[in-house]
Amino acid sequence: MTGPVGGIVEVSDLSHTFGETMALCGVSLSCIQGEVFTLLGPNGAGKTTLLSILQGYLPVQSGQVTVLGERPSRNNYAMRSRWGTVLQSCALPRLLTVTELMSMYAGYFACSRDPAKLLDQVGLAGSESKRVRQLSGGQQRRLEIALSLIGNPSLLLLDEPTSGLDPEGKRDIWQLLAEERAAGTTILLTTHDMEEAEVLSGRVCVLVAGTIVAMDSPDGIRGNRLSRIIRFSLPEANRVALPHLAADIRKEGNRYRVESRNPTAALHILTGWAQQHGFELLELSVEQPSLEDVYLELLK
Amino acid sequence: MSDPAMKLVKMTLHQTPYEIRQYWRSPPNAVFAMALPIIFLLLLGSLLATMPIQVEGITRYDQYFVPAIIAFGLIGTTFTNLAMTLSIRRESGLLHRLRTTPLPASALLAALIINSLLVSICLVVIMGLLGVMLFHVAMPRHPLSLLAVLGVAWICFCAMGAAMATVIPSSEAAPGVVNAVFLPVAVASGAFFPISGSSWLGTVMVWLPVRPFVQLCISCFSASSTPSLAPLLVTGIWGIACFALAVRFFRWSPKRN
Repeated sequence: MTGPVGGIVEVSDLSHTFGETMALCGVSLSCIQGEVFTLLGPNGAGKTTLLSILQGYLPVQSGQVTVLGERPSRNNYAMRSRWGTVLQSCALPRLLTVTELMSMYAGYFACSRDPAKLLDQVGLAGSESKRVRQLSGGQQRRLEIALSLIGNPSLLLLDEPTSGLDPEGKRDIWQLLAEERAAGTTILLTTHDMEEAEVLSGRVCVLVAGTIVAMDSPDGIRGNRLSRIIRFSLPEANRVALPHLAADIRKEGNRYRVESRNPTAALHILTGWAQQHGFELLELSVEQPSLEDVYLELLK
Repeated sequence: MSDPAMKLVKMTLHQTPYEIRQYWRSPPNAVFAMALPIIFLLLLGSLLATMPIQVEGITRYDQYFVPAIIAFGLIGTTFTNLAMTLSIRRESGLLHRLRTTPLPASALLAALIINSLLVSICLVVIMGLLGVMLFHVAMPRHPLSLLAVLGVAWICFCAMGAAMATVIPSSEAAPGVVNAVFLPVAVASGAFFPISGSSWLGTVMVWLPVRPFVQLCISCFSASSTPSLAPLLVTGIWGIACFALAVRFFRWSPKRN
């Protein structure tokens, strides 16, 4: 369950409680330079608690944590100048213009990037003179991402950075984050968007109830599953019951979903059954489980 | 100057213009902090300026209420302003967001306090000029004392505003809580009309910070009385106590976090 040694973020046996609620239980992980490391998990799994500890807002109650080689602390301003963050909920001064806000944040860092170029990269070119309150929710999210990059960070801590963005906006941001990763920036990301996790992540860590239940590359997590997913639908006139299959069968709308560790045998039975009753298996497909399939299975 | 101190000064100077912009672009700030005391000044002055009174050697109401309303206005631009700004920004996540940046907390607070100073100066000058021009109030007889009193009050009431922000539970509650505390105390402290020092309320108010400040402002304008140190001490002790409370209990994030 542990990652590469000498990481930008090192967490060892970290536990955290809120009163009697265990938010994190023995979490160990490590992110290396230039890696996109994604935390997946249902609401309340402990992702934001972990990010808050890494940022120094919550104390380390038990275990060890280093970020950029230092222990997180509320007053470690030097460390803060080396990271960029996007918080889960958008909080920006609504009365400043986009340019003013970018300049305000740029002034906090000794070495900042060109605000105009960053605004262009996040798709806010042309909105420079607008006040923040005049921006849509998605535009404010783009602005948050631009602000997270203004200090030329070594580490990005992104808590659901693309929530509220339209599909095109998401892809723009994914492209931008991929460029950051290629330039050597380490990215620690939380998301509920499985496609985002697949596209961006070098490694994925699934947290459930404060405990790591899986940690690997997206391919690795999928590859560990031997089962395959067979999907098909039946003609509306069909009234014949499905044959017995040694597999998990579920209905997804009009389609059937069969998860089987022996897909060849399952297909043989299904196609034989269809031929015997004289109808076609419509929209038949056999797929490797997606990250979302595996994630949902891990949550069970 | 040491490196951290230099950085603090640099960051404060960087942050202050943005705080000024945010302040003046918010209509409620302009209305509550600037317009309200001026409206009171014009209203009370028009209605009651020549009303005879007997307090601290003052015999006309206009000689009393102009310095008293100046005190009221300064409390609005410091205590009310800081309490509302800090609690609203905290509850909306703005303070938490800023804490992810290298901006030192002290630089942010210093920028907010400098902004309140600039607003206070504007208000005191406008009200003083209106008092002199419209109601023929005499210029302060103890101008240096007045400057010292306003300076101490500025710091103390900013500290009280920061302390107040620690007990405000939500951004929606901020205006209600702040005004529910400030306005009754201001009225009972003689910010609008003279109050009897021998009444039980007058006796209590002497030990709260507003009454001593109002008294000091009035005596700085009065020819027949001299500002004394005791009321300034009361306001100063409140300021120090509230500063300690603010440092101890200040939160950067809403409680749910």
